[in-house]
Amino acid sequence: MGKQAINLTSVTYAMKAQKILERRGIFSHIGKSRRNQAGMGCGYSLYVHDKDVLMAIGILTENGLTIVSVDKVGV
Amino acid sequence: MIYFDNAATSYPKPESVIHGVNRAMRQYGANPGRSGHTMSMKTAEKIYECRKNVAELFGANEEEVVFTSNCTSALNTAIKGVLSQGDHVIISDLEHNSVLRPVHALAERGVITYSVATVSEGDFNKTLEAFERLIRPETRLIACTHGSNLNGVILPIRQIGALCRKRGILFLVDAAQSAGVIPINMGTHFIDFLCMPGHKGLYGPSGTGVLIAARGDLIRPLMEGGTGSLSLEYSQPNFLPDKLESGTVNTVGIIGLNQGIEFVKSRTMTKIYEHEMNLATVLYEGLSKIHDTILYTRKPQKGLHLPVICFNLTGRTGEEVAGKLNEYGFALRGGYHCAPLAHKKQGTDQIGAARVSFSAFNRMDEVEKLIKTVNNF
Repeated sequence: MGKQAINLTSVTYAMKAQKILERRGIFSHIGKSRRNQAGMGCGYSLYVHDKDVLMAIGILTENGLTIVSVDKVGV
Repeated sequence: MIYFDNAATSYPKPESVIHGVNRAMRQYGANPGRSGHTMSMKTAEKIYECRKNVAELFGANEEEVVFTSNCTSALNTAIKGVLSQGDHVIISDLEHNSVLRPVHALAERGVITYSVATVSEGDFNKTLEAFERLIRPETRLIACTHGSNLNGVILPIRQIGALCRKRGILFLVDAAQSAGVIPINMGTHFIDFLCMPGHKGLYGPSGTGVLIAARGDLIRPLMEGGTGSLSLEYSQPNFLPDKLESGTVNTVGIIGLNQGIEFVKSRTMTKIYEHEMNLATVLYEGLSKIHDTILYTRKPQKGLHLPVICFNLTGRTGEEVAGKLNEYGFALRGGYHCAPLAHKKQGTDQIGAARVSFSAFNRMDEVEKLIKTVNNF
C-alpha cells in the first residue's frame, strides 16, 4: 500500500496535524516536504497511508488547518 | 546565600530544568523546523512539546504561542506590532519600563497618545473605573501588568479584559510576575496578547520568553527573516508562530523551559502561590514590628497581592538596605526596579526601595533569618 504526503506550511502545523489525526486513529509520520510547496518553497508533510488520506484531509480541514497540497509519494 | 530576588529571575532552577538543558545540548543540537533529518525532527518535536504545554497552561492554541528572548521582547512585539498612527493606549501607573518605554517611545514619535490609569490597591472596582474613564473613541489597546514587580499589587485583569471585549479594545497583559504563580486563561480573561518571561515563575533558563497572540493576525512583525516555511516567498509568512518567530529559536532554553513548566504543573500554581504568600505574610508581619521599617502596601492578601514585599529602613536608600543585606548573605534587589511610575506612586522615586521576592524553593527559616537580620541593623 502506498502513502501520500499531505503538505502543510510549517513544522508546527505538521505536528499539530499529526496529534489531531492520532486522536482519530490515523497514524502518520512527519518529514520535510519533498516537493516545492506549490511554488512557495519549504514546508513539512504528513505521510499517511493511501486508505486514510481522504479522511485525514477531512479531519484537518474540519480543524481549520490549511493544507497546501497533497502528493502521491514516489518510489 | 539566601536568594530573594526571584522577581528578577528565579534561582535556583529545578534539577529537571538543569537536566533538560544538559540533554538539549547533547541530544537536540539541530535546528528545529528547518531540516528534515532525524535530529532536526526530534528537536522540533521537543519545541512543539513546550509550545503545547504553554498553550494548555494558558488556554491558547499551540500556534498562538510565540517564543521570544524574554518578556520585554514579547511586549515590544505586541505593542509596536499592533499600534498605528492615531491610536490611543491606556496603561497603569504600576507598569514596568518594558511596557512604559515602548508605549512612551511611540508617543514621542507622534504615532500614538497614551493615558495612565491609577490602580487602587485592593479595590478592583475603583481600578476598573479608572481604566474605563480614560477610554476614548480612538483607544486601541489597554496594556497592563497583572501585578506590580515593585510591590506585588494585583490588577483585576479579568474585569479589565471584559471591559475591553465590551468596548472593542485590544487587551494586553504583562504577566512578568504572575505567569506560573497565578492561573491565567486567555479565554476567560479576554486576553488578546499575553506576555511572559520563561525564566521567572515558569523556572526556565534566562533568554526565554513567550508571547501568546490570540490576535496575531493584527501584529506587524518587528523582524522578518528565515522561518523554515514558504522559503521561496519574498514576504514573511502570515501565519503564526512563523510570522513572529524569525531566526533560529533558543532551542536549549525552550527545552529547559518545558521542564520548568512541568515543575510548575507538578507542584501546582495553587500550592506555589499559597507557599509564597505564607512567606510574604510572615515577612510583612515581621518587618512591620521593626521600628525603622517602612512598608508600602497593606498586608499581602491572596488574590490582591503577589508574593513581593517592598520596604525601606528610615534614613537609608533601598540600595543601601539591599547592599547591607548582601553583606549578610541575602540577595535582594534595591534601587528602582525599572518601575518609575510605581516608585513615584508610592513616593520612593528619590530613595528607591528594597524588594524581597520569593520562589517555590524559599523556606520559612530563610524568612525568619531575614527578619532577625534586619532587626539587628
